[in-house]
Amino acid sequence: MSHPDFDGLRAAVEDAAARAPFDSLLARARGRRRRRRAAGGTAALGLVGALATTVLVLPGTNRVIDPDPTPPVTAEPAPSPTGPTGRPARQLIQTAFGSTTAYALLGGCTGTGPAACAYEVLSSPDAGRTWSRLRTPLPPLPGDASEGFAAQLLVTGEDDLTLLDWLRGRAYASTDKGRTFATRAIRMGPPIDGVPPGLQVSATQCAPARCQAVGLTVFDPATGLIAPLRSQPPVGSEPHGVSVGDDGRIWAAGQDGSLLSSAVSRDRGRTWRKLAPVPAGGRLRLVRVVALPGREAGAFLLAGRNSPNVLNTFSDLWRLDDPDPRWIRVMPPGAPPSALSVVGLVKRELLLTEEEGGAWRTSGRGTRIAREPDPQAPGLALPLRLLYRTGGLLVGQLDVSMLVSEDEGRTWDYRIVVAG
Amino acid sequence: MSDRVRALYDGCYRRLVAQVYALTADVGEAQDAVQEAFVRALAEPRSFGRVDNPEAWLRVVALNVARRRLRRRSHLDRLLRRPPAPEPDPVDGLSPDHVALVAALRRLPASQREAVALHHLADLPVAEIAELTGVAVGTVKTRLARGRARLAELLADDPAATTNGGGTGVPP
Repeated sequence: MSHPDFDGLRAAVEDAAARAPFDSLLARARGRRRRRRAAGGTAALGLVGALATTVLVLPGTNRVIDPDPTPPVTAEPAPSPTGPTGRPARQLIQTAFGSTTAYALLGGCTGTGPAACAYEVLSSPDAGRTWSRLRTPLPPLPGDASEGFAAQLLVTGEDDLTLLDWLRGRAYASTDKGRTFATRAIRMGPPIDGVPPGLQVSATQCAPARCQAVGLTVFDPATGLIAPLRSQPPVGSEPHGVSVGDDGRIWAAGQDGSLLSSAVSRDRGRTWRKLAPVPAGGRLRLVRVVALPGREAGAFLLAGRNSPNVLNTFSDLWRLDDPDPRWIRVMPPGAPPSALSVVGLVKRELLLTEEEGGAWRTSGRGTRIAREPDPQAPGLALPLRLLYRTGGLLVGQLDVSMLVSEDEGRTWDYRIVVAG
Repeated sequence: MSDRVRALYDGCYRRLVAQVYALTADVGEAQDAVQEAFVRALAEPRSFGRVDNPEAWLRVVALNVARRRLRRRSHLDRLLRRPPAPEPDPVDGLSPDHVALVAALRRLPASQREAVALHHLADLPVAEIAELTGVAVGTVKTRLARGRARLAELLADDPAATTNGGGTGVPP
């Protein structure tokens, strides 16, 4: 084939391209406009404080572990109104709560040039009611910042703060609540026997049979090492979901060929018990396991088949009731098509959010589901987007605001946070 | 405005997916990127309404979205010393020659692949590619020449190009 047939290739791909319904794109755009309006409202409230920087923060969690070391959705640069030139606007990247201190990471750009974009780090001593700015060790970024703000916050132990700069392979660790930072090079470490106390376990995804760091790993801020667990859960080549319960059990799930496999560890990842797999029903894009709050409370397993239209597609739900080690399929009719974030509730139910905003609550142990009313901020209805559990609180994250619930999401307290 | 975007969606969507596909080598990623571009157009009707060439705007946004995702994944792959993601399944209905062409494209350096894709799949003139990628016209010409030469080698001589290519899919 001396003359590549680009025209034929183009035609074949055009034929194969699947189209999302236009109405679904309209709905996504409406959700963004609504959130932008909400952001404008919160920014206006921030100006009441007569402070130069308007920063709205919501806590992350150190209990629900994202299956990828990158931050979840907040790491994606906000949609740029300038489009092709695309410099990200000022944005909240991530938050995390320690025992007595909350931290927030933000990014923003001013002008152009090699250092036009910068990170900000804030801390709060009162669960996000007041905030102060910390000295930021993260270096600035070029004005195009086309890779987005890819740094991440991590809180371990009581209030130890680590800033992870994945692009440069650097971690900045602080044990004095962000007053000083020690710099570490992030690198792979040797396998470890279990998750050390105070550290978090994450799932890194890898190609089968070719990866040194496949599976569950633990990042240690004191050394900068990412260490794989010596004993990996038997859930196929790529564990995609991991969750740590209040009782210390670690749950993991992953696709294993045509099956969705899961396993649980009672000894911090030293040994694993494989649970009976369930059929995957195709290539999965979303696999998430959620340990329910409380001791021996069971778990939920969420899955979503590959879809061209939805990123965090949600198509299946299973429940496991302790001590019965079997998954029971309970996918409720009328569930939303996506599950961007999900938290387990004390009453052995789930609260989840969909990509376009809006929360859904299950009942009947996952057999029914209904859309929650949008929480009310002053003069605004704010559809929840990202949800976290931290301590006894649920925290809902919009693009630039924070809602906190002390009653499992029945009522929400709107908190505006401005760097002072 | 939404009627205008809907008309573009009906008329340009498949063409844009094919153009972005040459960069991503994954039709799902290409679809996501193009749909994201349309969502941005709908979310910013005033800005989009001022655009002179809407299809070019959508193409640039979709390519930027795809590029950013590829770059982030590549950074993480390097950082975690993990191999790149396995190559996606080929698009249904591709002939063996087209599968070989995609495999060969995957083995080109990213800059050459982008130049070849934009020129031969998106039909963009060299000057427009230069503007789009932020490099000189001469650089684009060099990349095109080297990319075409490498493609010819791969398609003529290397049997790997007719299997899965063995490439990374996402060269740094």
